[in-house]
Amino acid sequence: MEVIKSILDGIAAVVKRVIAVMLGVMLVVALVEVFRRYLFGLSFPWSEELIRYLIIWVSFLGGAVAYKEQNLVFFDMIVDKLHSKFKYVLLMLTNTVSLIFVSYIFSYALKVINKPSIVKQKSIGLQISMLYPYLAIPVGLGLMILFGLYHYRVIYATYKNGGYNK
Amino acid sequence: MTFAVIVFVIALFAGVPIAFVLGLAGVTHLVQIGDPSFFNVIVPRMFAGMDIMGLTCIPFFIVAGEVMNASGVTGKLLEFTRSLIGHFRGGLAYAVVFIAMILSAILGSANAVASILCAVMIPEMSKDKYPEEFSGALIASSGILGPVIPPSVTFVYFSVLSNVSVNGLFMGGIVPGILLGLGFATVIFFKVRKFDLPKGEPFRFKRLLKATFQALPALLVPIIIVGGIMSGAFTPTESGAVAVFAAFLAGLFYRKFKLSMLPGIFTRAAIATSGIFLIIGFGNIIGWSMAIDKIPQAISAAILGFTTSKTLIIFIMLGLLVLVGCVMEATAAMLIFTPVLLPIATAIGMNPIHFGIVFCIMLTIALVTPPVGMVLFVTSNISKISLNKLSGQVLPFVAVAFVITIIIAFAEPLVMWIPTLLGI
Amino acid sequence: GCGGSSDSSSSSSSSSSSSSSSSSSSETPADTQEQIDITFADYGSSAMPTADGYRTAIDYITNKSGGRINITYTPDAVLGNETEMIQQLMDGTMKMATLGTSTFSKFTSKMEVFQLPFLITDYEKEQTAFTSPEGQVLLGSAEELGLKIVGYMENGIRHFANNKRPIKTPADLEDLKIRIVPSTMLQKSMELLGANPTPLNYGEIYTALQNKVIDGEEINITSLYAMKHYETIQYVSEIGMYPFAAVVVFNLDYWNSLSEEDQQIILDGFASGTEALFDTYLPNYEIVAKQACIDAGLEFNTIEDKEAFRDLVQPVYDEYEDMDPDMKAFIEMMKSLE
Ligand code: NA
Ligand code: NA
Repeated sequence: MEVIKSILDGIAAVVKRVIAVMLGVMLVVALVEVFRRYLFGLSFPWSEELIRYLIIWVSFLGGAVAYKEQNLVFFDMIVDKLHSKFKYVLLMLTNTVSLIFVSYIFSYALKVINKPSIVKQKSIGLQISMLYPYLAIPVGLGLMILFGLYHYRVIYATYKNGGYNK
Repeated sequence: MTFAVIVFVIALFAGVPIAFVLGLAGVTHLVQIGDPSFFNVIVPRMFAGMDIMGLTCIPFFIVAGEVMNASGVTGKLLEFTRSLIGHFRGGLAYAVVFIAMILSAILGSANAVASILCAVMIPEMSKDKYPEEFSGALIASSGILGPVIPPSVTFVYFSVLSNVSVNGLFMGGIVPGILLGLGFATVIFFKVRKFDLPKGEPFRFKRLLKATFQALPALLVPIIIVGGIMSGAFTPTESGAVAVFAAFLAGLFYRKFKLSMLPGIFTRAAIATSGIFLIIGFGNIIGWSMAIDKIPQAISAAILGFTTSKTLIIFIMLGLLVLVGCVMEATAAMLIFTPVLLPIATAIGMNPIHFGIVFCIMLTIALVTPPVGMVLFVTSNISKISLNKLSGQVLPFVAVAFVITIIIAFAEPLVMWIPTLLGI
Repeated sequence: GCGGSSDSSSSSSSSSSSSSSSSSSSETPADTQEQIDITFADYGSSAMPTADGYRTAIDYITNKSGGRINITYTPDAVLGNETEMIQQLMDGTMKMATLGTSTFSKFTSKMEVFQLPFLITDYEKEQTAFTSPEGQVLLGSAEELGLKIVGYMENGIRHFANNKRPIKTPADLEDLKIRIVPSTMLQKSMELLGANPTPLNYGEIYTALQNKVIDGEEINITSLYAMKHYETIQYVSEIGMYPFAAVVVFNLDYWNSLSEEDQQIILDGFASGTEALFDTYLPNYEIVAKQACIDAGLEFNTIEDKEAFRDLVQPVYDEYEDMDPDMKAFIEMMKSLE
């Protein structure tokens, strides 16, 4: 189990680096664009696209990490009031619901990204296949499934150690 | 639709992440509609919801807030405000509203104003022993001013959807924006009496002078942003990136900012961004399913079939918007309900600008009404204050904002005074 | 967040009537043929004249089929923007929608020539362009994407609008920051004309004009009015740079599943809608829009020497003629109309 934990932690650490770099690139491109437009009245046709597509990658990769670290916003009023067995059961249930949902979307994402409406679609500015921006969705959701499966282990261990007691 | 609503409520209260709750509701609605070909729309809809240029300012303003904090810019700005009004009881809380109004005259969105305030003000308010959930709620609510005081991406978006003059909307937002600011100050006045706040230091002119001098480079940041947008050096969308750059330069001046801080800042900002964008993406599914199921038309017909009284219809619309605002993401709500409500408003003789202002303010307040409120999420994500605690504290602000909006909805001259003066 | 809708899209919704209209025709005997229900999604505004053209077409189809073909018109991009729309059509999620011709450039260049600057310079030529055999070949290329184009509407031909000076010769465009529809072809063309093209989102134009981020735009008078750009514009120079057409598109499989008789009713319906658009709706709307602009103090001028502009963009013509024989044939046919 420890091995799996360290592998998942490793993946999360790499993903964090990647999204930090992506955000940095977005920022640099946006700034260069402002100065170019201001000084020369010109703009790269690809810059706006690159920023938008990078946001989508950042969102799904970052979302996976946020999910792993239980950092996605959720309504905590009821969960906070429960203890012990009840909290354990509810957390197991919500994790299952999340996992089923994410897996369902994941399976659709795999199908959709192979359709001609995506693969054959070229972005106007970057002139790349829309497959690459869209790929963020199955990759991010795939990571979420991995992290979600590991959640069971975390929830179980916390329960066994009395973490959900008052 | 009913089944989707049930799934939404149960999943939400059980504590499933909100992004997934919205997605689940949308998918459930599609299942209920029952056309299998419609499922193809799910993934492209998520993508399209996030693939919007106007939204790219969000991560930049989160980074800008972090950089301003790390670089000491915030501290200097705050010391300035504090030396100015810190001696009042709750002076720091009033300062939040004051700074929010200035930021709102620079920025176009509630998220931008709230996220920059969040990074800047919450740690300071904690130092002064304000309960953190009050600080968070105050900041989230002050974010409402962002799109109400011009410039405003919300008004621009409404104008695009409705064909109503942007200028008219911008000018019409000034009075309501000031009223909201005064309203929030009133809430603070009553709230802070209950808090055990440390006694503020007495006002000293020498301190103010020194603070003003030291804050000059920091004050340049908003000036660069305002000046840049006004002069046309960059678009409002680009202002986020420029804000980061200006904060970075000021940070270099104060010699507090280190390049080694950047990776941490970027990682935190990226994760905060993802939390927001996942909600937008997953929330976009139900926008489509409702449109294809003609829910907006059904609502419109139901309202006009029920009554033709102007007063009653305005109250019904306001009530509907409160409910919609509680559970829907604002952009999606705007997209869906502009075609439902604008014809009704025109039918009962409301001026389209007047209606637009009321409609936009209602959906902007919705950004801080629980359970689904983007600005609440942003505040919670950045400040790490639980959504639950924020939701409770935000209510007095929301209540005051609603009361002001009801007054505005019936007192047309409050909105139309400036536009009429300018001949729009 | 703000919204980045695409061109001549969005705006207004004042009357998003789902015009299934009253089908009182009891003359047609109810036969054994099945009822056909279609949602017809429009990325564009329900207040634009195109919407009236679609409503006319739908009324025709409803009456002609005795209410058997029921088309529900859903405008104002509530079912998605243009890119989403073409994807939904290809995936079979949507049976029918209308799209700007430029939307296809994400998949094929063939339809880009309908917007080649200074090729189609008035509405008469546009109608020839769409009905000519050469034009039909280009529109037919949509079938490779699993799409069938059955008709078209026009949003308004494009002119120059700016707040620096009236444009009379290409030299007047020198160094003006002109907002263009995001498109490589337009980017190149405007650079060749000496302007500084700036691709911006449709929704951002108003603020950009107000803030002087841009000096002007290439735009139709209909949008100039509908989007209130006239509040921030001073000069309109009418030239007829290229038309802003929207085509009516079916998912090809669905189209083929319809009987030939029904297909004909639909084709005739949209032909009648297009006719009404060019005869009445578009000219009437342009008159109202232009008058509103004049009342707002805008100065209009008509550019006489279009050749001077066309000559400068010759390299773009060369590029598209070399790209594909079908496009070359189309360009030559259009040029021969002079
Ligand atoms: Na503002
Ligand atoms: Na809300």
